[in-house]
Amino acid sequence: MTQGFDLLQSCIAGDSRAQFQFYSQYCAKLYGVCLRYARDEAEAKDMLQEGFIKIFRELASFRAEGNIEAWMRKIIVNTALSRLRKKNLQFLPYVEPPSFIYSDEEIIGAISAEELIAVLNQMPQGYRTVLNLYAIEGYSHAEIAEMLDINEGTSRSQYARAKIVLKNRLTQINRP
Amino acid sequence: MKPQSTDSFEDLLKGKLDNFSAEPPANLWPKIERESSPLKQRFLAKKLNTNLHWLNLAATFLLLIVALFFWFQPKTNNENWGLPKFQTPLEPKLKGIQDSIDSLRHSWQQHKNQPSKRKPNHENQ
Repeated sequence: MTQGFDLLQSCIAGDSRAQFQFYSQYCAKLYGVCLRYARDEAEAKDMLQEGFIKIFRELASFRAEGNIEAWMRKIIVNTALSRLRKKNLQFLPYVEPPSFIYSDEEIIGAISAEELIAVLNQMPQGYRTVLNLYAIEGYSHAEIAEMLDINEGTSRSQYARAKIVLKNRLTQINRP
Repeated sequence: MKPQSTDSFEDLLKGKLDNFSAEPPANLWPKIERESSPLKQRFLAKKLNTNLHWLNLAATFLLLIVALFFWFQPKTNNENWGLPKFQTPLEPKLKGIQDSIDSLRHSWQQHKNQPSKRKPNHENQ
């Protein structure tokens, strides 16, 4: 803890070595978050770069008693959302009819995290974003509506549709 | 935050992706490092760049002035390049000593060239 605190202080002081150590410690996990929101690796890379620059700039405002990883993750998610908003995030009204025949455990359990990310990346941006924010980050529909400047109903419907689309795609992958 | 979900789909998805990590490209750090350097440092670097620009200009101008000064100097055959001759306070004294030595030498030469007066005396004895 003391070591982590010292590292944090060195990063705030602008020590480049400490910043690199800090970056090395968290970059893989935060890049994983970026890959869930981005369309491809290039976009994820840009998100991570922008996010880390914000993290280093705002590190002095972080309270030591808080969870640094959760704080950083929030900054990365906000950076990703800000980038998506700039690209006019679209929410599709169309929904595919459900075609899944397996249980949730079967379709999600049988696939690796990398494959799941690849499937998520092929989904429409609006679906993917709401799915990430609700199912993985744990935000409520009211919070998502505020973050994305949409109605709460839109968030709910986008999530329901995203779930159907994801299950359909995973079923297709699992089908022998 | 939403209330604890009872839907297994969210839990399964979260369990699969929440701790997902992947190594970012190696060339990303230098860009982050460059961009996240303290604002003050960047300001100083910018200021130094501006100062260096002005220093360059001043040095070039000075060099040009010196070159023009030598270019328009009248050409002389003087070994000292026409530079004024300065006299140190010791020089007149040294010159006086040198004059004395010359005078003594001159007297000695004269004395040497005179016919000897002793010889006739010796002959008389």
